[in-house]
Amino acid sequence: MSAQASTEQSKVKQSKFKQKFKQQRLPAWQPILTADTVLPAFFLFGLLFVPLGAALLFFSRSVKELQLDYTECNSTTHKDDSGNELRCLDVIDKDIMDNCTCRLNFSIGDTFTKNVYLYYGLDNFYQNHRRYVKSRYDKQLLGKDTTTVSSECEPFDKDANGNIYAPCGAIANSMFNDTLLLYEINEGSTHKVPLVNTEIAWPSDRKIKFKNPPGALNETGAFANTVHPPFWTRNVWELDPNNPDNSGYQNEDLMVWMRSAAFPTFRKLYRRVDHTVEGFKFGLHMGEYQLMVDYRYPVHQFGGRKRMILSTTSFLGGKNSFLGITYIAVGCVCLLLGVVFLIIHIKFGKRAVDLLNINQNTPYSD
Amino acid sequence: MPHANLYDFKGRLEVYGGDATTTHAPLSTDNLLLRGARLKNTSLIHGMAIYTGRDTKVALNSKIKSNKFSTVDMTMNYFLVFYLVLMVGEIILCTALKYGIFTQEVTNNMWYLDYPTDDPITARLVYQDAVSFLVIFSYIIPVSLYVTLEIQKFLGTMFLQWDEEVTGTGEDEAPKVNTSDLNEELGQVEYLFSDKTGTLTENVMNFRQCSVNSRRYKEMDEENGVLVFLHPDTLEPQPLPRLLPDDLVTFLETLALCHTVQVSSSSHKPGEDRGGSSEVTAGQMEMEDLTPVYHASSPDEKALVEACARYGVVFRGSREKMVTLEVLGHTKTFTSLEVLEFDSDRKCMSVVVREEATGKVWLLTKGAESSVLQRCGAGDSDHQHLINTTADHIDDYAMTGLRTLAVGRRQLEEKQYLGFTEQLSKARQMVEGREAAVRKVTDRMEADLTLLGATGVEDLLQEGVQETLESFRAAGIKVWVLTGDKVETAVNIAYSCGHFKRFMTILTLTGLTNTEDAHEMVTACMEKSSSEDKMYGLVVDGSSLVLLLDHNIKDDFYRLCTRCWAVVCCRMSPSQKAETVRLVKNSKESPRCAAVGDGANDVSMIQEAHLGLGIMGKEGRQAVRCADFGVAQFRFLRKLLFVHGHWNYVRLATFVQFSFYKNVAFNTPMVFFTIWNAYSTQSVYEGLVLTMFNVTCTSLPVLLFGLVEQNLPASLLMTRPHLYQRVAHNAVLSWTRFFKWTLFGLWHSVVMYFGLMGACWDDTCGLPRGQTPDLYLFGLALATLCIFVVNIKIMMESNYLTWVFVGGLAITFLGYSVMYLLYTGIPTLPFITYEIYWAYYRIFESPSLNLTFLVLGVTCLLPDLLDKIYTHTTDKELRRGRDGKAGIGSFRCQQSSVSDTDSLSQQERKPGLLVSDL
Repeated sequence: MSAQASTEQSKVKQSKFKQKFKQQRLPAWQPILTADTVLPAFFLFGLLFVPLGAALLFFSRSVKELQLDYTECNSTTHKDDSGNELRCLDVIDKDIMDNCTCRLNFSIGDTFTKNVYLYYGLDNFYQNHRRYVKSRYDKQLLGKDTTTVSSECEPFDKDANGNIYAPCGAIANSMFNDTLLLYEINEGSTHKVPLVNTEIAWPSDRKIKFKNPPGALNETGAFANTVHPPFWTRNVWELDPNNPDNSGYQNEDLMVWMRSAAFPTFRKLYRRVDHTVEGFKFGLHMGEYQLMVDYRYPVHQFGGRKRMILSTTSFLGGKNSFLGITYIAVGCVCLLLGVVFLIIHIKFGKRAVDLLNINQNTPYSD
Repeated sequence: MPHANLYDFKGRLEVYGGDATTTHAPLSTDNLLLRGARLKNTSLIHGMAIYTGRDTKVALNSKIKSNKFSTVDMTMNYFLVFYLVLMVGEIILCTALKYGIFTQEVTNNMWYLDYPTDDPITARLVYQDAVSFLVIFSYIIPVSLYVTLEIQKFLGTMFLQWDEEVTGTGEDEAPKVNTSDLNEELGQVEYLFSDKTGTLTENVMNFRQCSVNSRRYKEMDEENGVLVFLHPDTLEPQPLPRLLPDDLVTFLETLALCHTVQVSSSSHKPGEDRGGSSEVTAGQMEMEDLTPVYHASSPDEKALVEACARYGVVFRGSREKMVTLEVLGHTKTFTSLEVLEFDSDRKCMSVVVREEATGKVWLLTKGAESSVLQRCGAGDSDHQHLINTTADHIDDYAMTGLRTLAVGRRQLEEKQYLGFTEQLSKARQMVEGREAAVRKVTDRMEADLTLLGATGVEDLLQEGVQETLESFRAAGIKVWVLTGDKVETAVNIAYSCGHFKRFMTILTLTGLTNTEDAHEMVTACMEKSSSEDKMYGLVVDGSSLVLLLDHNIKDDFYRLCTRCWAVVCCRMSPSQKAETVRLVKNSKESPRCAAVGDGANDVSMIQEAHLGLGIMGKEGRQAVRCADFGVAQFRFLRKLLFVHGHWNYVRLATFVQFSFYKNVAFNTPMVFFTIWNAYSTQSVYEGLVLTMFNVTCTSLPVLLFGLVEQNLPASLLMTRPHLYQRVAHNAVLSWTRFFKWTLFGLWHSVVMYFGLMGACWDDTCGLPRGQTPDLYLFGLALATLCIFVVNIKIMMESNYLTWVFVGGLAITFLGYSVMYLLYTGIPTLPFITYEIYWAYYRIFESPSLNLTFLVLGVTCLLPDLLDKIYTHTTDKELRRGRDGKAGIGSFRCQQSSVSDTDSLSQQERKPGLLVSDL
């Protein structure tokens, strides 16, 4: 009985709703936003945003970051006839296959507590160019298609003999190939800073998006009938000779590169400092360091720059005060507006509101 | 030749007999069956098809009705052109910049893109780039707007049809909506052209008074129908003697004979002898109950015949030219010899009957007094006196708003009669000039009449007409009453329904006969009406209007009309009504005109006006069928215009503005991004959100806004008609408002794009473990922010947040999330090849991105909030609508919006006090 009654009741309720809906008399919240009613909201936003911004700024400031532009670094291996050191960019400009190494000393003034990440940064490099962005073949990188190649990869799809480039496309072809090494200089002796090249790509890329084709990682197995991209010097399965799991399409450097950056100034994660090694458990100590670069990647043709970035991260990511400043600014604006509205409210009160309200629609008294 | 006039057909039938003799017969409209007509009460006819196909009158009359465009539609097209121009400008600029900055040399140096090339830049290449830009910039044009607009309009009509407050009490009297294109036009009416009979009045005629032989009689009690004699001087009602005076009986007899009323067949059993013996024997006391049911095309005639029956002269019907009357219990039979039907030139009708008992032949005439009094023979001084007093009585009747008719008769000698019949039948057989010839004969017949008297028939005003007209005036809607009635009646009705006020100066432009006069009169009236602080009313009649619509005077006349608060046009033919509407419609200001009427004679006017409104009247539903909207009563127009019109307009206009705005907010970041991607036509957004942004991500909330938004409560709109002015002249879609919306869109896009770019510059908007975002993550973050911002913007626009609307918002946000959780998360084949794979999940992994959304969202909407605060603070009406309650708002069930004038006047006084306080 009660169930029946309740269904009937709900029916009545439903029909009541229907009736109200049809007659456009649904209950509704009809907010009236006037200066005095929203006053607390402005103060609330202001009081919330300013401290939040300060905290964000604090976090951003706590991030240690060191950027080193090595675009025009001098070669330690090549000298001109008069014995002056040549710039590596000039060396590889002459012969792209030349091995040019340069070393740059820098000092860390403040301890970089873990985790410390090593990035390379490129400027004026349009990874977001439309022709560039689409020039890839994801099925190939998934290991699903070894025999054909997408036309999107043109002109970096096949060589003159019809062999497929592995991997194909402009993105892969232009993969960053400088080698960066870090040394800690301690009382004259140098120690290599331990760097790890895994877990630098997105987890989804590592686990799902990039897979080697079945077979052994060589020219007869998984990569049969393929050649390396024209600008490469190594084969794709030789990207990490020390770790077969990190080779082929599953190489994390490749994965990182294949994620097109949003802007022409970008950074990409290169290595992580291995904090399991003794001496680097807490990060990088203050002191002198040296960056050794195998300089292969040409950027000066298009006016690009190359940077080494050493950075810790906060939970907000890298060093960027933008967010903190924005919060503080918006919070201040809110507070200011709150104060203005408060003044209006106190000084004029309702009368001001009424004053403002006389317009052409206000009827005259007869 | 086939022509469109339904009431005109002339033909001659020649039948060749076997022996070479021919018979001639005239053919007229009486012999014509129009297409779609149904013939009843006969088992057999001989017929001939005259017009077929395109020559039928139906086909000739169905002129191609030009589509009615609403104001919003037209404005929308202007906006569209603006954005098209803007888009083309963007394309040209970006293409130029591309080839200006990223020349071939520069691109060749970008070795990572392609092998260097020396191919010359061809026009084809430039064209390709322009088209590529077009593809990504075209999202600024809200293509889906037209589709969602149709949905909104269609569903919007539902609310109108559901509205019980504008539903009549009778069966099937819910509002009719014939087009969903003009919903919002209801909120834009500047001129209302109204028919009188059946629209302002009930079109239920009641016999009220008559004047017989200089004596006035009045019906006192409507239901029982007691006729009393009015004392000529004191006008005191005095009861009639039981035996009615002879002249009154003659008068009633005439009325009972001179008409085209038919007795409803339902009250007569088939095969029953004429009159029916059972009815004849019925006692006089029961006469009321046994009054036959009459049917007439003219409600006046019906009222008259019914009145006669009440006073003992009962028309029992006619059969084969034999007309039976029951006069005070005695049956009298007449032979109907000839019927001269009513036409608007003669303004009268006549019948010729032979009284069976005496064999006398009578010509009985009834019609407009102007026509009948002219036709009365001068006779002796007594008769002249009678004519004068009757004319006085008629004027009195007209002054009280009654429709008047004069009645006269003439006895014809048998010879005279036969002569007339012969002339008449000859005239009727003519193919050329038939009308003139017939007219000549009838003029001769309807002469030397003896005046019997006059009648006054009342046309009841519809309920609530005064209040409705009053509120229209307060709303700034100019009302013109167009009627076929004569000047005095029309003016009196105009006074009684509050159309004209006692304090108004009434200008009259009637009886003009030539253009010079008309010109003079108009100039005189212009001078008279030059004073600003007076209100003017104008009366025009049909024949004068013809002259006034002449090209030379037209403009002056229109200017005169605009100065007048109230205009009454009398003696109008249907086409003149339409022409009057056209005059106003096509004037320089081209105001939005609505026409309201109930009968077939209003159809042309209804079709001519921007907005046609039909009243479901007694004269059938033809007007409703041809109109855009139909309601049962005139007073419902108040809610239709003030509430539905206002809401629909605000809803739709905001809908349109928002649709353009959201595409500006969404698409402009694309233009900004072009600068950062070497003008390479790369889209910042990924394909799915580009397609779905207008389809699912932003459509539902604004659609619901377009259906349930109530910027002001209904009760307020009803009681404060001047609020109608707020939306008048397409106020919400003005260019100022449009640019305001566009500026908000630009501001939002600037904040969103540059804010997000600033937060993510050099890939510092962190992902866990030091990883960096990419192009797709950035694009998706931008799209997500944009979808939240624009949907919250429409929520902020709303003054009426129902669960329906909030639910729509929730569904939209949820749907967007689910869409991207699936699209970027399903670990199977097509999805994992997309570069956007997993990007949506990564947004949630990044606290900095989420904090960026919050601050950017607030920054975007802060100016909108300030704008809203300003609007709400300065809008006293809005706060009045909340019953003066302070606080952030009220949660309220809307009260019934039926208004009463008392509260109106009370409320109007308040601001007055305020002014004097200051």
